[in-house]
Parts: sequence; structure tokens; C-alpha cells
Amino acid sequence: MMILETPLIFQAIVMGILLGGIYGMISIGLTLIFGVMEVINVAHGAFLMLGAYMSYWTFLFLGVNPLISLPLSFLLSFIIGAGVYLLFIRRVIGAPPLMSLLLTYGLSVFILNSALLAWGPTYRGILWAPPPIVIGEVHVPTGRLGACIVALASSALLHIFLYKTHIGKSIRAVAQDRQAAALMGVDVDRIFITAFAIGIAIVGMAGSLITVGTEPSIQPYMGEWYTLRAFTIVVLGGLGSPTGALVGGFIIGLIETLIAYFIHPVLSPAISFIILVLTLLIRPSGILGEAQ
Amino acid sequence: MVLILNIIESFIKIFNNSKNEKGLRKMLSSRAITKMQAIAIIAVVIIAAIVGSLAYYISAPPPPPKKEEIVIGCSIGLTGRYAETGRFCLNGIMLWSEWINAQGGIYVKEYGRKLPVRIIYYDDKSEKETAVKLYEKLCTEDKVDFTLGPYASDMVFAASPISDKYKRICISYMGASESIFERGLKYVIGVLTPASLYFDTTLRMAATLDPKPRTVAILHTTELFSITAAKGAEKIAKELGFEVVYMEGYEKDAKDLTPLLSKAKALKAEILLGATYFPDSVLMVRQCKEIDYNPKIYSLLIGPLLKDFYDVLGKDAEYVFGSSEWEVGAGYKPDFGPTPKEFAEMHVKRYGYIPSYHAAAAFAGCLILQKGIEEAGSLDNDKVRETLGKLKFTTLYGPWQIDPKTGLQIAHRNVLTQWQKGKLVVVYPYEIAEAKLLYPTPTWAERAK
Repeated sequence: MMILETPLIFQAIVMGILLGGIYGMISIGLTLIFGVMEVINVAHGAFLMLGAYMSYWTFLFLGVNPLISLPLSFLLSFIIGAGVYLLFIRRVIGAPPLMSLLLTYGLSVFILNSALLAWGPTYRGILWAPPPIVIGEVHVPTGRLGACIVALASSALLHIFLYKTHIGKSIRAVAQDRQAAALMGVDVDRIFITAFAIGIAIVGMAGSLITVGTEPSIQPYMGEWYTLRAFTIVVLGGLGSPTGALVGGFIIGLIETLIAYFIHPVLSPAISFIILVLTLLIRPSGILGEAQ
Repeated sequence: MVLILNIIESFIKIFNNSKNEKGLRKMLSSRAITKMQAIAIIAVVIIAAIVGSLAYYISAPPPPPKKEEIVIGCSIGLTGRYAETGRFCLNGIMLWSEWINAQGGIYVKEYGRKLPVRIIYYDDKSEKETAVKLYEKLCTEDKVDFTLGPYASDMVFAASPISDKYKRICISYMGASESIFERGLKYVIGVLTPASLYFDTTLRMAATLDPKPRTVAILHTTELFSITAAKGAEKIAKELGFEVVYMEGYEKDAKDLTPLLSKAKALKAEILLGATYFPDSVLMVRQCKEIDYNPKIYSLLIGPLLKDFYDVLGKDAEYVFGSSEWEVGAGYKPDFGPTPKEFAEMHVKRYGYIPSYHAAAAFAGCLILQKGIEEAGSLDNDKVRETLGKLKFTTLYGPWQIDPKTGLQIAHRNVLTQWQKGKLVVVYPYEIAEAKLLYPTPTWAERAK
């Protein structure tokens, strides 16, 4: 089922890169949380979903486009993240990884079913579908383009935050070596709260981006599909490295799209997992992770 | 109640143990609990569980005496990916049970009187494994007299052998794939149009158009129902003289259908048939707009029939055809039971919204079981099954007749609907249509004006 037309190749590459940017954004939150406090956040998809709903309600009541209402999603998700940390996550810091897995899984079930109860299983959508930008034979979907640009901008902002601000440096210090950072006078607990909250805030933002970038239908279970993808990307890019997550996102996004276009659409998820397995076999620390 | 008290008790214990260090603040920031506290909590939980279960068993109502009622069991996806439509079906079933019980129940000659019905249902979470377990439970523990199928062909496919094992009729009011009926099961009964005929009405309608569109692209998910509908469409298209230029499958949760749509566009397919569920139907329309693909006919399954379709897509949903099992506006004249309009009024009164075909099919499925019991005069599953194999009638849902050997539905056909100015109207067959169909679909560029 291969149809090799030149414009199709360009279309595929464009779609793949745009998807990659969004995938990267989705995964950064996950890798940040793991890198700093070694918590595996299985509730990733649930927070993604919450971010999407935030955009939806904002759009419905204030008429604001999701790409513009992002700061609101960021703020709300930040508050939720801080709350979740203080109430739950704090208790499993330093505990075996199984504990954080169980806890976040429980959180995930709780959040999903609460959403189902509160908002029902009705599909919702954001009625914002501007016409595509046409460059030659390639149609660039405007929503996805906007989402990718915002994703890259946010990643750049995060990078500046982590490398140029005091708190950012403290976060990186704690991620490197918790005890050394504590000895240097860093309030580790406060950093954990901040890092987790930022991580969730980024996930919330990514959720808002999805609504225009990849997923026109919003419903309580929408995030689950992305959780698995995010884990694959995080492992590929290196656990704990936000840049790695972005790079991993682009790689997976491109490969998935190219395979969908030129071999068979049904194979793309399979390829993602083959990549995951290969990464674990060949270089378990990922592309940008520290070699062990 | 007891459980809640025990939980409060354990919280107070923890609280007291840390009372010396600023109470609540310490409780929120405590990292670990002592061994004594852990043992205390475990003991409390175990005691609570034991006391709770005892209380439940003691206070449970005594089992009903033999044959004072007809017990019908089923599982439905009330959570998970089938959550919304599962709820529609359940409402249809419960509406029927209330309607029939208001008349005193079903008249069973064997007992010489009317017996009320009782529905036992469980949430199978849209998971096949859970459904299988639940049907085992229904047939063994709950000892139901008859069963109804779960929602969606793949679920019915998994669950119907269980009912068959226990020689219970399984009314598949929501499983349309023929493969359900091709396995030599004795007790499964079909209600819906078989999946392979879902695109029959679209293609027949297209064949009446002038100028007649020639090329067809068929896109489908890798789910059982979709594949069956797609293969059936391919066969019918060829029979009616269309050229199937492209047929491709995609993963149900795919977030990007542009690979397939780009190819369909390149091959200039004039009719786009999508054997979709809801999210992919929305994605398909959205992405056709994104890549400026302009088929003359969009015909999708499941998605366009829900109000949510228009809510999510807005004006982009216009002109899309949906092949529908049933619509409120279909002018059927039933042999027994309420008319489509009466049913819709009942449903609106009870639940506050207009029923979709899910509730209608569920209600009709129960009506069919009722008719089978009445005509057989007995609650014996074999007798009822044999009777149903010989019957032929029309309900609010439309014509009904099964193949006596396999239970496959052979009389029911879909109606074709189209979104016009924000409303879903029946446009084909022309005899029962509410409005004139709009063809061809204008291009996205024309629509933007």
C-alpha cells in the first residue's frame, strides 16, 4: 500500500515534526518529575485530560482560544500539582518505586472517575478549526502548527528557567544529588513541591495543546492513550532529561508518521514499542540520559 | 456505616500518636508511621472488612421465592470507552422493564398469569474479560432466566458463548457483526442490521444519484464491527457498479488519519465511507478539511448519529451522512408495543432527552424476548428460542426476523440520515424520508465563503 508521491513525503515530514513537538511537550512533565524526585507518575494521562477540560471550559465561557488561554491552564495545573504533592506524593518520596506507582495509579483512577462523574462521558470539542496553511502541495494544519510552536516556546522557557534562574538551578542540583544539594543549603522539600507542581503544570499545558493539535474530542478517558506514548518517549530520550524528552518526541513523532504514510497506519504504535524495547536493550539510559 | 466509623477511628489513632508534635501539620508532613500504628491500621481494616461483610449479608433481602418473577441479566459498559452509549442502552432496557411491569409483567401460559420482570445489570467497564466473568456470574450465581448482550460487537462476541454454555438466550441488541452468529451458537439472537449491510443504504442511495459518483474509498478501524462493515461495503459497491479505489484500516485510537485521507484524495475517491466509531469520525472530517480533501459524499458510522458530533464539529458536520439503525422520525408501524413516536415520548418523559437508536434497539430487544416468551407460553429457553426462529413481525425498531439456524437478523435495514442546518434528518429510503438529501457536498473552499 505504498504510494510514493513527492508532495506526500513533505506532507508526512511536516505532520511528523509537528506531532513530535507536541509529543515532546507531553513527555517533558513526566521526565522532569522522575528526574527530580524519582516518582513514576502513572496519572500522567489524567492530568493531561484535566488540562484539556480547562481549555474547553475557558473556550466555552470566555471564548478564548486554547493557545492563548495556556497560562491559565498552567496556573491551575500548578496549583493542582502542588496540592497533589502535599497531600499524597510527599509520602512516597524515598520509598521504593512500587509505592509511587501504586499511589499515582490510584490517583489516576480517582481523577478519571471523578471526571466521569462530574462531566459525564459526553464527547466535547473546541469549535476552532481555522483553514490549513497551504504551502505548495503541503497542507499544514493550523491547529497543530500553533500547538507545536507553543510547545517549542514553552520548552525554551523551561530551559531558561532551569538554567538561568536560582530555583531552576536548585531543581537541577536536587535532581543530580539530593543530599549534596541539601548540604549546600537547598530546601529540598520546597524544591520538590515546586518541581512537581511545574511538572504537572506542563502536563496541563500539554493537555490544552492536544485539544487543537491532535484530539478534537474531549472526554474523561482521552489522556490514557498518551500516557503510554509519553513513557516510551521518556525512556527513549533519557529519564530525567527535558531536552531528551523533546528529542525523543520528535523521533517518535516522525517515525510514527512516516510509517503510517508509507508502510501501514496500523503499524505505527507497534513501531513505537519496538523502539522502546530496542532502547532498553541497547542503551537503557536513553539518548540524552547519563550512561550507567 | 460501620466501615466509616472504623476509618475515623484509625485516623484518630494516628492523630493521637502525633499529638505531641503540632497535630495536623505533623500529620500532613509525617513521612512514615511506626510499626504499632501500622499493625493498628491493618487490624482495624481487617475488622472493618469482616464486620462490614457480615452486616451486608445479614441485612441483605431474602432471595425471592421460586418463579414470582422473570429475571433477565446483562452487563453493559458504563465506564470505559463505551460509557456514553452503554448508558443509552441501559436506559432503554430499564424503560422497557418499567413499561412491562406497569402492565403487570409478561403473560406466561405455563404459569397461567403475568410475571413481572427484574433486570440485573453490571458494569463490564467496556472490557471483554470483565464481561465474560460477569456473564458467568449472571448465569451461575444470579441464576437469571434470560440474558441480554453487552454493548458492542466485540463484547457480544466474547460474552455470548458464556450464555450459550448455560443454555440461556442472549439477545444481542447491540452486536451487529455476522461473525457473532457464525460460530454455531444456539442461543444468540440478533436485532440490529448485520454489520456487513451498514453501508448498503448509502451505496444504494448513491446509485440513484445523477450524475452517479464512480469511485469509493473505504476506511475502517481494526475492530470487528468496522472490518465487517467495510468488507460488506466493498462487496455491495462492486455489485452496484462502483469502483473501490482504496481500502485501508487504521488503529481505533489513531490521532492522525491524514496518511489515509491523503491517499484517498490522491486517488480522487468521490465517495468516502468511514467505518468509524465516534472520535475517529470527528477526526476524519476535521482532517479532510485540513488537507482539503473534498469527497462528494461523506458517509460515516456511529459518530454522525450522536448530537455530540455537531457539538464538536459545528458547521463542519453539515452534509455528512450517517447510516443509522433507527431514528425517531422513521415511520414504522409496529405489530405490538409502542410506535417510534410513543417510545420517544416515554423516553423523554422518563430521562429528559430524545432517545438514540441504542435505547430503541435495547427496548426492542426486550420486546422481542417478551414476544418470544408470550408465544412460546413458557420460560424454557429452548422453547422460546425455537419460537423466535419461526416468528416475523415489526416493532418500533422496524422489521424483525431471524435465520432460525444461526439467529442472524435478516429483515432489518438501516436508514440514511444527513446533517442539515444543525439537524439530523432521515433522507433515505425515500419512502420514509423526512427531508430531501443534499448532494454533492460543497468543497471546503466553497463552504468557507
